[in-house]
Amino acid sequence: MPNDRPETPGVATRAVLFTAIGFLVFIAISLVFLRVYYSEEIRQTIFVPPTPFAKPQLQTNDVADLARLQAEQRDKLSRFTWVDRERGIATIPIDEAMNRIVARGANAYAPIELNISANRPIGANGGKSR
Amino acid sequence: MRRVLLFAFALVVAGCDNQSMQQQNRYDTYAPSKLWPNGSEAQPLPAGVVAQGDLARARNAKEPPPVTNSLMRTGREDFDVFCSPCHGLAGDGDGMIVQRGFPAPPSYHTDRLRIAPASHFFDVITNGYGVMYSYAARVPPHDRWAIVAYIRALQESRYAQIAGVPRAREKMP
Repeated sequence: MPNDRPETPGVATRAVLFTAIGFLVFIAISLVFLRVYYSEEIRQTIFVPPTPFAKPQLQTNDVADLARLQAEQRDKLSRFTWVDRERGIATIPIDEAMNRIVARGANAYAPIELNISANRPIGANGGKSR
Repeated sequence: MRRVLLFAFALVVAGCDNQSMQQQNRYDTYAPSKLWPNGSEAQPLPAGVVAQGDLARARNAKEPPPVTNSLMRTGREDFDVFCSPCHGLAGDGDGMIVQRGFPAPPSYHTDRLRIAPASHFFDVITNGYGVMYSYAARVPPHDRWAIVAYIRALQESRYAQIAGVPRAREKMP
């Protein structure tokens, strides 16, 4: 005949229960203690405003920056501008300069004639037309 | 029961193999090897070996091609692609890379570079100079000469005698 009585537990249920309850009580007491402690010690709200610092030097629109720079440089390559009017020296468009170098033939690679010094003091003629 | 056993067997077998194809019967790069005397998988080129086309490239490097309109256009395209990021489109050494903090190269329009021989520019493109690295692997010799010719055009455009330019004075501001 089978034994209908429940098996006796192998663990001390009461000890486990007391331990769990004790833990919960400890947590509750700690929370109450910390709440009272902070309310007594900290009378005002501590708020440190964030320190503003310089923005990083990043490009916000690199495509537009490059387009602007290249437009300026292409413009420089497409204009006639006097460098020294008296001596007939000027900046000429790059297409014209390319044709002139091709026209030099065998001397195309030869150094450019120093008709005026690029190191002349600023203001000697200043590249300005008069 | 038999199906369960088969399923468990398939699971175990699938877990045994690395399906990533990482482990294969081959040498990894620079792996040790007992096959060759130097004990390495990587072998140096035999003495005297050159890459295909090296001799033609060396010949082209010594002989500047005639400067034609076509060569000049090639030089302009290559200059805009390879050189302008640092040197600027006008050769003033103010390209976008320089704007972002890279050391500025010298302007082509200084007296020193206007009287520099063409071989100087070719050598710099080939071997690099200062912080500029070599472009020999990117630009073939023929195109390097084209760039040199275009640099001459850039220099010519900056301080040109306009006596030979037709109707130049009319176009002046």
